[in-house]
Amino acid sequence: MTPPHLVTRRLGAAALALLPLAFLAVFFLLPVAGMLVRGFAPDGHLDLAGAFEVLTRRRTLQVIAFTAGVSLLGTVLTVALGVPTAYVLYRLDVPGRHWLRALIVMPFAMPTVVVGVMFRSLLAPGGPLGFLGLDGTWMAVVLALVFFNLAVVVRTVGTFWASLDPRTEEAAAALGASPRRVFVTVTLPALAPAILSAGAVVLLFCATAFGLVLTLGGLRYSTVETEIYLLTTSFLDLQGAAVLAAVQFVAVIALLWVGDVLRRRVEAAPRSARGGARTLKVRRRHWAVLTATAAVTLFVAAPIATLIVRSLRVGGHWSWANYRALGRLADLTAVETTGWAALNMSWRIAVDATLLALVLGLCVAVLVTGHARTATGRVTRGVFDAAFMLPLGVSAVTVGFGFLITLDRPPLDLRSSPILIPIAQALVALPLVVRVLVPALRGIDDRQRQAAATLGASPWRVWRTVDLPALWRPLLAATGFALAVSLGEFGATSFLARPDQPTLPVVIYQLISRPGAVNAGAALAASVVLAVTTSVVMTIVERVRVGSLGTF
Amino acid sequence: MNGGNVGRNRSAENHNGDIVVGTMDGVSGQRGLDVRGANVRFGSKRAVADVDLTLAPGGVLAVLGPSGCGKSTLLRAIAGLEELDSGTIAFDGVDLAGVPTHRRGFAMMFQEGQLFGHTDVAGNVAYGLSRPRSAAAQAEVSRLLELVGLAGYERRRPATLSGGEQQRVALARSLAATPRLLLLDEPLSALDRTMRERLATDLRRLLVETGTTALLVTHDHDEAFTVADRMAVMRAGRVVQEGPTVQVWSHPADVWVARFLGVENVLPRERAQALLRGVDHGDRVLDGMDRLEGTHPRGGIHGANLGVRRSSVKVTPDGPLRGRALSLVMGRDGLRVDVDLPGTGRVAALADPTARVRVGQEVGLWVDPSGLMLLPDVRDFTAA
Repeated sequence: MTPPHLVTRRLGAAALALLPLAFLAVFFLLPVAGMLVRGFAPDGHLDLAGAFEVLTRRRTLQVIAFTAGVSLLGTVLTVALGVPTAYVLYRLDVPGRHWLRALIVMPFAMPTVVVGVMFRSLLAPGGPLGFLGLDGTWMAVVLALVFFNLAVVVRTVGTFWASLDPRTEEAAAALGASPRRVFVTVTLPALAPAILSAGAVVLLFCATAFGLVLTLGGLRYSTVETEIYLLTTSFLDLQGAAVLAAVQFVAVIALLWVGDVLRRRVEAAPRSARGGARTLKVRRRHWAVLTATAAVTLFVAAPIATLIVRSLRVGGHWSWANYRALGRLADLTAVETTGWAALNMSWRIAVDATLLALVLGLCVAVLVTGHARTATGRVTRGVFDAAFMLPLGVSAVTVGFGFLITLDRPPLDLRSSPILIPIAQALVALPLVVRVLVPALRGIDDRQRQAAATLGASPWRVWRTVDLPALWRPLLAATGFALAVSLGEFGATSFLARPDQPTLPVVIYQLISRPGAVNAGAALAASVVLAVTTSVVMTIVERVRVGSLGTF
Repeated sequence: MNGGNVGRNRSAENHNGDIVVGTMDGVSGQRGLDVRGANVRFGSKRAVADVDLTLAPGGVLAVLGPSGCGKSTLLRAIAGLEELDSGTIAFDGVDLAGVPTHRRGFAMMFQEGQLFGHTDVAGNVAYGLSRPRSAAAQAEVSRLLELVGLAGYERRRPATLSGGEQQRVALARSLAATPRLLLLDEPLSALDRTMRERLATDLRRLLVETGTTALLVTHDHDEAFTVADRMAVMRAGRVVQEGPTVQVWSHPADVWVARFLGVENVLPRERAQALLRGVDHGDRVLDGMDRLEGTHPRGGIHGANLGVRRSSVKVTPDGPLRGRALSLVMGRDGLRVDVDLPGTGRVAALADPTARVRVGQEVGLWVDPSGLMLLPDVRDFTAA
């Protein structure tokens, strides 16, 4: 027999679950299923032979091999460069390390299209590193992936490293272990979960990178994600796209699962109650890691600096002409709007998407972290949690295209509705929001809530006085993340944006896909504007200092 | 007024201003807390097994047991934080099944205080008051802080307080809610010894002064003896002994309870005999052991043992018993001497700190007859 207050609680949980579940069903499962059905059963019945034929195409295998190769190489390089940098920026007493941390994190918040533009301007024949001849090669793609993902490794490993209890290392040293032996036998095993967890996240981001590969690889170097885009938009080969989307889905789910297992190990690892070790004084023996960090810093700063400088150079002179061109795009180029109108559009959409992602993310986080009393309850929560990570596993392109083909008839004829873009972007931002909020909610000692309840506080008052005070900083951080993600979102938006009302990333892509100095110059200026916007948002987030923000 | 407890005086309108009238309805006529046949299972493990407990208004009951015995689970079940699998928990005759935690009027104090870090001391203490921001509430906060010895701490942040101060604030916060029953979950265990002993005395005084009915869960028997006037000893989910603290102290129910309460000498009959020869009326005690043996209330064969605390076995030069000192350790209570007594074996005894005893030396022992206790073997509950 269930006591009445538990019945009320369960009804409340069900009501809370309904909103996000309905959203997920209509705006994620339906479009993705629609896309898969079109691909696997083009004539209404299942065509597995056709699907198999797609899989064995030479181009398909090439694309899959290229995606795997580039992702793995990018991940290995990112970890190799990120771990020493994490050590220097989180364990050594390096002057200005807070600024360096902010610099390293910057690329992660940048729209992928902008990162693509940066590397093109850096590696193009006329660029500072043009002599390397890397423009248009697969190495450019790998470098850009490393640039983009360094933040993940440095932050995840660095914050974990800083929180490790130094007494274990001290004990090993006191037992006679050399610094090298301490590192190999104590520090590295302790760090392993954090390194592997960050690696899994990086691999995921590398494998699903879209805007970056599209801008740098073009048609020559295609990953699964860009291939889906090309197949749907250029060749109208829905079957091919659906098969690739399915392949990607399986691979990414496997990756997410591995990442989740590793993330749990990071969260479960013992942390020092005293807040980790003090930072060490820089010594001569640190020269190797310091050199690596200097190289990484240069590597991160160079593309950013090049982008800014080149956006201000026109015909060998310093000039604002590229920025002025943003206001007259419609006259100068084939773009049907001005850069400022596109920025305004991006911002308005991002605000809507962020609100949506926050409301849904809060519902999901509260439900996922609630205290499950029964085994069934725990399983339900686990499934619920995983379901809202799914959008990470499905390419934004698939979602965007799925919207077009499934939400185009009554009762849900939204194709021309301006609400579609914020919805698609909210879907992309939702997993990030949940990942920021969940650790914060889990971090609250349940006995705080119990203490409040025994003092007579109702469940609502407990939430307001115990949960909310611990949640507002993560909520701000999630807001920043969602804004940055929405502002830079390109995969889904490229399908959904109306030609006369594009977002800024779409405008940038349109500009770089067309020849001409005016287009190229305006693309540089638009990229700077977009990068500055997201960086300002992220800097504000950094200001509120929310710790490690889960694993991101 | 209720005569259920010794020397207690508690007005009947102490909680939330509701005046409790003498007529009772519901599952029992019991005033105060009444736990009957309570069971909590975690999977196949019975964390709380068939527990019966009563606590009259104004009383302070300590539930004492080693870690993992189920005492905290019992406390959480009373608070409504854990569901009972069977049995009832009632207060003032009203069954609490289905009453959520926040409507029970039982404030709970945790081991680490669990103060709300986002607000100051005053905000914490006022949390359970009906209108936390009112002037009356602020006055009440000041009064309570003064009561717990922290006058003027209103604007301090919890993080800036020492462990002992945090617990004092937590106590003030709990008292502010004028709970019908105060639940204390190992409230002093996280503190160092000096602080723990001082706070235990203060806690006792405050509970008596405010006439608060309280249930204290602890693994520390000193703490239980200081704070409570009744005691329930728990082992493996069951209450194995319940009674006034003095009685539990002097007459543990069996060998296990005695050892848990710090009785160091537990001697079976054949070893006890030699020791009893040196005690006044020792043969009468031996007769008592013979009578106890084999008269287990639940039947079956069991042994009788003699228990005596170290503090009741004194090393004196002219003691009637002679033995050899095996080891010496300086303790808070004096010089702890383990003595090998012929026919008995190792006996824990206490010497004056200034006594000149050396290992291997022959010493005399004197046993205080009032410190002797008869202890049956541990009862086999699985057979019950």
